Amino acid sequence: MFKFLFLSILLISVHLISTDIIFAEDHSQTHTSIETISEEKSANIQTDNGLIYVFIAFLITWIGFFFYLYYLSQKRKELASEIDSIKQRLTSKSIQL
Amino acid sequence: MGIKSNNLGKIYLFITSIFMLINLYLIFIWAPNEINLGISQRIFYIHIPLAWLGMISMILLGITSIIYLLTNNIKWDNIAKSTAEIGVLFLSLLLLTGIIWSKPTWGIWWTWDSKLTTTLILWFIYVGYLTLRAYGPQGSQGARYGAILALLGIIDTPLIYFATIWWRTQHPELNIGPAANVSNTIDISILQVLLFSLITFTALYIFLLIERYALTKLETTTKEMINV
Repeated sequence: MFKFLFLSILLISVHLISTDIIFAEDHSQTHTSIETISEEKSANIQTDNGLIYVFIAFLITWIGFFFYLYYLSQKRKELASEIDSIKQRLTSKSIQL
Repeated sequence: MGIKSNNLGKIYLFITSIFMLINLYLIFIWAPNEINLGISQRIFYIHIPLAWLGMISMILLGITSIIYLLTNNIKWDNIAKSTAEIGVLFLSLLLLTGIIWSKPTWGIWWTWDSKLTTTLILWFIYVGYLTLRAYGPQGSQGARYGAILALLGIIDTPLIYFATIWWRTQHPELNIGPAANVSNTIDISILQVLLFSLITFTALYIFLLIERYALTKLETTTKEMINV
């Protein structure tokens, strides 16, 4: 489940980087000159590209932390079951004695 | 860990999560846009804490390794092992966020700059330490070998910090800390958000370290029980 989630997030991120996604443009300023619009457009593209990098950086950081927490919880479960089996072996030995 | 300490851990994690949410609000809503770097500068608020804690980890690893070599007390080795693992996590994330940030600002993903290279060397030292502990000799001999390797990391840590002062580098100069250039002062609101982010990530780091230490202790006890 976690592997699937991680892979899909990773694929989306790679796709976002490879295709320069441009977010929806603001159509409210219809009376501005063509020059201003083109300047704003290029500024928007720059900002949006920056936003993608920010998004990916934060995403990777949080995936890293969550995976580590998940790894710790799995390790804790493994240890608990190992301790239980040791306890069972010890009690069965003591009963035999 | 008992029920009481487990509950305390949960409360601590809950408070840290709230801090994280406030941190996200500050980074994305409250902090101003940096005039030169634009929106990509917001990576700075996670990149710096990761770097700070990655290096703190190495210093902790070095100190606990020295104490272990002097006292031969397994407790210090357990702390060292836990610190190394979390250090790898923080340093890996630091390198990844750095790679992502360098693309929009420098136009490249990676360069063999002194700061970046020394950081990568530190990452290799961490990974080497963990590999040695996992596949090398076990017991006190493995702990001693690991401690000696950790001392190499201590040498590398100041090199990373002073890299921008000692060598010509593409990486920005130091803005905060004892060796920071006084003329390179950063905006007060950016500094406030950065400090909050540092506190939040440090709180998370402490939580992870406590959890990992408890597990390492349990692992050591289980191994001893199996050997008996």
